[in-house]
Amino acid sequence: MVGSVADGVERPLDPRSINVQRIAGAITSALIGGVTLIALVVRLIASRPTRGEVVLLLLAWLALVASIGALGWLWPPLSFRHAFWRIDASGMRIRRGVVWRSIVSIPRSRVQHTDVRQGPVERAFGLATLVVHTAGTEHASIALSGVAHDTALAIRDHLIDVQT
Amino acid sequence: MSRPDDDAGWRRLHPLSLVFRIGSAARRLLLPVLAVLVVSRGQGYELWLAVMFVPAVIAAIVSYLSYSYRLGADDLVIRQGIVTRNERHVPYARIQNIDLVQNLLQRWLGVAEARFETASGNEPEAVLRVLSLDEVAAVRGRVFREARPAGATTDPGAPPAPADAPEPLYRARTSQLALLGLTSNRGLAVVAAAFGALWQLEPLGYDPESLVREIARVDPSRAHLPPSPWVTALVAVLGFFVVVLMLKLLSVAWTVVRLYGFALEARGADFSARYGLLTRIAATVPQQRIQLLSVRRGPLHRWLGQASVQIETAGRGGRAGAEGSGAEVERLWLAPWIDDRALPGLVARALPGVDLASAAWQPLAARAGRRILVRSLALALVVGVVPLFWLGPQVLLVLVPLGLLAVLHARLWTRHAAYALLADAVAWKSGWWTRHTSIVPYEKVQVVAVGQSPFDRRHRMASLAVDTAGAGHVGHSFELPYLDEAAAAALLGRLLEETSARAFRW
Repeated sequence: MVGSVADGVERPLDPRSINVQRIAGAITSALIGGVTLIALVVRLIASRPTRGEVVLLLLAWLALVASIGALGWLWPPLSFRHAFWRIDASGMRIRRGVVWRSIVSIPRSRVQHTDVRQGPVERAFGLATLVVHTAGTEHASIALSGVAHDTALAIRDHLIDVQT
Repeated sequence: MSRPDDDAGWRRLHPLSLVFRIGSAARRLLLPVLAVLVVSRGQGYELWLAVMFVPAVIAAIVSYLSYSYRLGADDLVIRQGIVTRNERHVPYARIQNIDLVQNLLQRWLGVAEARFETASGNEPEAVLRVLSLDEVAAVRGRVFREARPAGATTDPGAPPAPADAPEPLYRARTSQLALLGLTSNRGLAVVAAAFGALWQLEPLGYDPESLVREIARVDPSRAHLPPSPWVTALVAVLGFFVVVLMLKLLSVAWTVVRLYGFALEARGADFSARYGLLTRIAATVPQQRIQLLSVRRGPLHRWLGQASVQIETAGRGGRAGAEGSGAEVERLWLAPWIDDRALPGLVARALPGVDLASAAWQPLAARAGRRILVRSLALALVVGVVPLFWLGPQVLLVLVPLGLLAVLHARLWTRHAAYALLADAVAWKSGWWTRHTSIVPYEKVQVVAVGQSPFDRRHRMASLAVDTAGAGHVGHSFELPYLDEAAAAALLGRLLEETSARAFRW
């Protein structure tokens, strides 16, 4: 498994990551929606508005939540299409970004240590986030989310392997 | 002077440490003390002060008594604490440098604070505050005798490195430090705050308009009319110059006090810098830890044929936490104001094998100038239009010189921006008014990142950034904008190739 990961072939993320991100987006919109709704209701109760005003404000709230929800739904597949990673003998390269595209290249010898993290949603889908730590400043830690747990472990083993 | 204590070799810090600990505690209590004095209005404050100070003093005494250190066989051991005991072992082999910090009082009393730094980490691993100068010399001698500096030969037959023979490399005169102060803007925050406060508080009961009138000595019979825009503009310009003058004076004072007597020495492969008027600092800069070297030349530098050289090191040697005195050991300056002719020698010492003269400078993308022009014109437009509402249409006249300045800036910036791949390092220079040249040895390159904004994509350009340890302290970021797409890819490939071939040692 280790050998097959470090073959220099550019791979996309795991497709299940789209759903993981959508869930995260849904949670965020629910939170934002909930908080703004509470704030709205408190304000409405305090100021005794007309029916028209209530309807208007509720519509505005709905529009806000709908747009955030739409963003949370539509963005993940887009960012998925633009994210790739590649490992070979010389190092790791992560290419991602929809509007601002970036390629981050990490030479193998510059990897200080690695973490493999799994949030609850990621665990449910069998995915993980690989965090690579370097001695840099701007890129002191570089995270690659949305890879399968096994793949993350394989990458980590490969990167650590070079230290010995 | 060692005080024999419980276990063999365990020593306490110099008794004067107590004074400085209490001093720190007092500094921390300064605000509460002020609050108490204000609130109590002169009655009963003695009790409050006693309540605040007595526990602090007792805590300082207790922490002094419970702090002890020992020079072990191959490590420095530090014990502290009573309730929570901590024993820290710092192997001599790991200690990369020992910095000394002495504030005014410590200098008078002949003691110093010793900060020990290992390879990684931003904070010193151990801070002994304070030791007498004899003790410091003893500790230093012991540590460096035991430690094997990274990369040193382990051949027993080789002659010992001349570590005891410091070679003076560079010394700054106070006049040079004053010139350096002129070129920097230290104290900008102070001046800006003072200006803001002045504006807000409306001293002497004047509001800005009447202040302008007062300064311009407008005829009192016309005092009810708003001052003419020309007068206002003139006063604004004068005010601006006054502010700049204050700023520069503050900057000169700061620089001279901070870097007074700057002397750089070479001890073997490492550098040692001493500086400071009030707080005296002796910092070691191991050559191995230099991540980036940056040369700055402003118009004053160029006129006088000088340059300022700064470095970035791994582990900045910042504040030493609660144990230390809070004075920052800036391991930033290699040579604050050095002659252009002496520069190549210094650079070669700091980064062995690097020769800027042989660099083949590559320019940015062909259309970079055009993009910079568009941005500068947009900026000029914004700057020129904003005062329009304030001062009237005469301001439009200002747009013409601003526009010309934008064109000039675009052309000159593009002409002076270039990068070069040297034998052992990568170099990047930018800026036309203040010219910066930064050099990063390949073995210090960490991560290379290439980015493309939507505008970059349209023009087939990209920007490339080289990340290093401890970056961001010299005023020049190693980010190359407006590169040709293909050139960026090629540069990325070369950098990765060279970087992978070299191991990174802290």
